[in-house]
Amino acid sequence: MNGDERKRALLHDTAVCYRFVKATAAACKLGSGFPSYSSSTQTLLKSIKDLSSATLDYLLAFPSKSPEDPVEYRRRRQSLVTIRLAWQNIHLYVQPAVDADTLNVPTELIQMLTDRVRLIQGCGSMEFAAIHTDKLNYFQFPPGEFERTVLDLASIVSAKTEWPPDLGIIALPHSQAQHLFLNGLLAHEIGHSIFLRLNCLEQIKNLIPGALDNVFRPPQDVGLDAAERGRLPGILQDWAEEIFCDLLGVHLLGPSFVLASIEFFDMANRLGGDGHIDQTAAKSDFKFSRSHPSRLFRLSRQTALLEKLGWWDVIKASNSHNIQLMNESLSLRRNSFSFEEIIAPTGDRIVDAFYQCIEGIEVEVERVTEALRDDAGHAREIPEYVALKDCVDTYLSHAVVPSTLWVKDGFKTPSSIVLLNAAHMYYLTGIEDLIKSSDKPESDDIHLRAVWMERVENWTTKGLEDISMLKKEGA
Amino acid sequence: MTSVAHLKGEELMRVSTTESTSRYLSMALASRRLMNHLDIFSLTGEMDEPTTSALRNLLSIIDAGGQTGNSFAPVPGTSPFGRYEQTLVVNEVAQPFNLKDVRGKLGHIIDGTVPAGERPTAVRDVNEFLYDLENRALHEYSEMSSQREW
Repeated sequence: MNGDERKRALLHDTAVCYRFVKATAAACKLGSGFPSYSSSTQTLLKSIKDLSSATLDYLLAFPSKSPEDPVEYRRRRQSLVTIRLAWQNIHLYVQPAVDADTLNVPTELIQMLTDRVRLIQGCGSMEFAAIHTDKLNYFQFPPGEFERTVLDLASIVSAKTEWPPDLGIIALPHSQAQHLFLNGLLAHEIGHSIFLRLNCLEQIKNLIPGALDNVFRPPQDVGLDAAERGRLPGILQDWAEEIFCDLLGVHLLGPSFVLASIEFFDMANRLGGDGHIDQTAAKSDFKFSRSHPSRLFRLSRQTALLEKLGWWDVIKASNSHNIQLMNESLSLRRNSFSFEEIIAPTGDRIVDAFYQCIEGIEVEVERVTEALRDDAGHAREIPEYVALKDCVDTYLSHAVVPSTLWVKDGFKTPSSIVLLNAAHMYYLTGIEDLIKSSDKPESDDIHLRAVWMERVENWTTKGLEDISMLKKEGA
Repeated sequence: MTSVAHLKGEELMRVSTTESTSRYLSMALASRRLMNHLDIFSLTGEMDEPTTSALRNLLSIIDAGGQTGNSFAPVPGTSPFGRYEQTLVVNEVAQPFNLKDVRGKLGHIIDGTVPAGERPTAVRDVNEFLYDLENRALHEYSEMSSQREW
């Protein structure tokens, strides 16, 4: 191509990229009225919009800075591809963010989680924008990915574009916004944001190569090929982050988080008719995968943490098969678990190495969440939970929203975390009572049961809204 | 040393596809960012700490390439070049640049020992390597993004 041809080609290609970016960002409209967005989602949408403006400005000036030198030209030309593919990635998140208006996200739960996170040192002004995902999975959304793309792109197109430093992104399945208790799993997603923001990996990263070196001293390392050897530190890093997020979820939400995990994975299926874990049914759940520790391992660590925090003592007597499963998970030991994607005995050694890191991960979670516990190391809300649980039960069993409770000789507003956990326990064990007091007391109808379950969630959501409003008024 | 092509099919099956795909985009973006910063360095001789740190990280990956010591590598952290598959790409791309001693030039840029008069040449050669790295990462990203998920 001669100079003119090259210029025409560049003008054309830049315009193509310009149109693509403009169309991608067009969905981020922020008007007043419907749909309305939480302030954090507005911040997210505005940031995408700002980034698109910066990118468009960059592209407008792009052809004029084209170098004559063919090597320099080639190098500069390729940045169009990079920008385009970065926007292709951002495209994945734009519509899901637009869809997550206030009617389609669990606003009160997110506010409650945000309030809890803000108690953590270094997270005092964090906020979370919820977006939708078409995947029915709370555990696969990589929040850092989007953030990293946006930050890197911003630094390429304009030195002035900034990503809000206190904004974390969480994703929930688009169909599940109304399922209050299940959405407790968002606490895990929030964990990923905190892990990144507080640079928690820095505190635990040195444990991993050391633990691997310990278990793979020659000649035990003969089972590893170069690729496996190269990947292992990354695999253990991922496991460590997942466990960190689980444990942080327990600190943030208490038993409700663990119960949400059980419901999401339908883990009650692993409980046999004799009340013990059925080894055949649970076979897959003992296995670690490349991206996550085994489900039962995660459950056992979560439940052990509830025990440490004092929650377990106040919920263990509950007559629920989910509580029974949690109890069973406490008796699982190292030899219950395996990593079979890498053949034995190598896989087992990798789990051994991870066990050597666990304590360090738990210490890091404890360090981060110190403000959420009392001097004895227990969750601060437990005395309040003990005092108000029966009262919340009574209110729910009479179909009354439990936001202002009459206790002994006065009214009391429970904290959000106490209400959520008390109501979640009632959801497990109290539905029978609601059915018995209905006009079909003997009914085994699933539809009817589902309706009562939904009502308990709705009353609890309303209770959380009331508490939030009362808190704002009080402030 | 294991090649990326050899691993790709295996990786697609075993690792969370979205996440592993996006790592190549991060790699491309990081390469581009470094090129831009090196251009500024070429003109002014100044470099900020994040850029120095990212270049140091890249250099350590090149230095570790192909070595099979007894100890395990550090965890990849958040480095866009640090995951095993990405380190393979870095080393594959770096190989043809041995003749231009890109590793040495990168080291001098990081140390601040490259004389002002030689800065443009050193940056140009390192940027050629980063350009290839970006090119390769974009290719991997496009290829993996267009794989069928089901």
